[in-house]
Amino acid sequence: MMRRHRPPPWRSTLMLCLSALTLWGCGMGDATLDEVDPEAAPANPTWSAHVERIMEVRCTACHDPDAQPGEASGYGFETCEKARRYEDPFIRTAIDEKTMPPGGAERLTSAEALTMLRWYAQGAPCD
Amino acid sequence: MTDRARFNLVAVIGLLLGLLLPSLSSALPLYTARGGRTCDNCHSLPNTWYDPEDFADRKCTMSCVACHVDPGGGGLRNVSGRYYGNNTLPMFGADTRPLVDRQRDLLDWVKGTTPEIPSSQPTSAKVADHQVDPRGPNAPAPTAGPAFGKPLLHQSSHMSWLEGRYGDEQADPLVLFGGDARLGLWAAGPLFFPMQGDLYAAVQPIEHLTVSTSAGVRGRSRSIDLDGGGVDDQDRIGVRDLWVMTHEWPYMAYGRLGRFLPIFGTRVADHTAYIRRPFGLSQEDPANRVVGAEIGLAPNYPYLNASIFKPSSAQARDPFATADGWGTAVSAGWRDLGWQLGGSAMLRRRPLDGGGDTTDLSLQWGFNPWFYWDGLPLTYLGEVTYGRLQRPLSGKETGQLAAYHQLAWTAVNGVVIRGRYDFWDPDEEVIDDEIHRPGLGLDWIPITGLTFSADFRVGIPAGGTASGDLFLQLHGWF
Repeated sequence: MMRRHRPPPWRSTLMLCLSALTLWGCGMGDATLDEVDPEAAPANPTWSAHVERIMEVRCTACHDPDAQPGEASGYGFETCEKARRYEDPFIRTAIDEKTMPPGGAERLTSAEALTMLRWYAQGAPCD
Repeated sequence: MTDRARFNLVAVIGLLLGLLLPSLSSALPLYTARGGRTCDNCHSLPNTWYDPEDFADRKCTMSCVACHVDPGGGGLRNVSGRYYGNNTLPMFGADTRPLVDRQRDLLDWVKGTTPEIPSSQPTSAKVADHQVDPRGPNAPAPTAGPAFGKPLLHQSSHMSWLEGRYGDEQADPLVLFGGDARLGLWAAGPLFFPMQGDLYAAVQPIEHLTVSTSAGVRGRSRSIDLDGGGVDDQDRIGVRDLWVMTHEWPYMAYGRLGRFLPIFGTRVADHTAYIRRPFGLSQEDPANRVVGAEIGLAPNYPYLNASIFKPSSAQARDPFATADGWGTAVSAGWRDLGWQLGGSAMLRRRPLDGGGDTTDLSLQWGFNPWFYWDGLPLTYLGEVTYGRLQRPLSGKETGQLAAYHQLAWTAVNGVVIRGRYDFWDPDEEVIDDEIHRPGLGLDWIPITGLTFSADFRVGIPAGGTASGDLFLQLHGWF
């Protein structure tokens, strides 16, 4: 059974005020994206239509061996085969620990993370 | 401060610079706040200030238009902005001037040299009853600056920038040029940002009418994708802004038509700030430009800007190509000498594959203790933005929240140490998707036209592990 979560209308206002006054933001939400809106990510993601773009935006600027000097060694995500090979480190660092992309760079969005989880769960097909 | 204390402070700063060299020109709105202490930047003759009794004729403003040709800030600097960059910002070579700003030349400050008292030393609080050219009646015409020629009806408007008020800088030219060039290194990758260049030009054929454009040139844009900009080959060279504006009217009013970034919130220089990019306001992303009309005013000290527009077509070579949909933005508030408070609202109605519908509200504020107390050279800016948006695939509505706080300490002239905090919750219904991003930054402006910046940031994702990065930038500007 799909659960539907919708925060009460006062919560946004409260969080807004807290963020302004306490100088420390307060996160909202109490469910995963898959629970609140499963259609926000493709049901059957493919490498060329969905995954490759995520890799380009979030990963391959550093992890593509041909991309830049000082490449991040050990991993490459510029091809479907490499992305399949590195499923475990990808899920651990980019989704579970959220240490990738590192530092102050933007992490995967919830929709991107859900897309990747579904892609891996379906065997990471290369189209 | 004793000589030894001065020496220790300079030594500490030197050590910091050695560790962090080089550095991000950011937080330029802080300069606006600091402008509350540098009255002589515009009022070059404080003893004969021209601040007319008629409110409509006053030009003193803390809004972006005080220093930039674009009323929304950023890019090409007008004569007041160039003068500020030459005579207030740098560590070395800044003019010694009166008023309550810190001694502007580091060497003089270290030596404890008493500032010379130039002729513009205020002698009374009396307000002049007429406009004065500080150079006198027979002074030669100013020639400095990347500016050429004179418009028709040159200086015919009492609202135009006054020749002579800004030293040798041409105040009211026919053609004005400017530029920014940046080299960056993101140490966490590491990624080297080869070069980003912006060139600006404005042509004022006749008083009250200016055509302005900016073009961006980028090196390999691949690295830029890290911030989610999604820039492709087409966007490495391209026109960012192109608009025609009528301006220098009473109440500092203006109106413009063309392609521009709509005015909403505070335009901080960091295009990755969560109050900017997630709300479609990154100055680096061509897709964030719009094509439309905007009006505004900025007397001392309220301001109001309103625009209606169509989204731009991000991938088009034609700068006026638009996408389906429409939008409107309003921004209003008060920017006083020691404090600021304002609000913004923006509405976009677009097809889902063009970004979807959004409704954004923002509250901005600032406080400049330095204005009130000489011994506290701090400036603080804050903003909170909440927006309704559609999720990309499903189209279902949700909300996002972002906050930005920045505290800047002008340690000595030319050295600004910044503390910053960024927050973003991209989806109010999803758990553990928010991220906190505190950081420390340093701007060093040794001479006019050159800024080194270093920014150390820590990303703290909810439900994840914190990690830090260092971004270094060398920024040349004119």
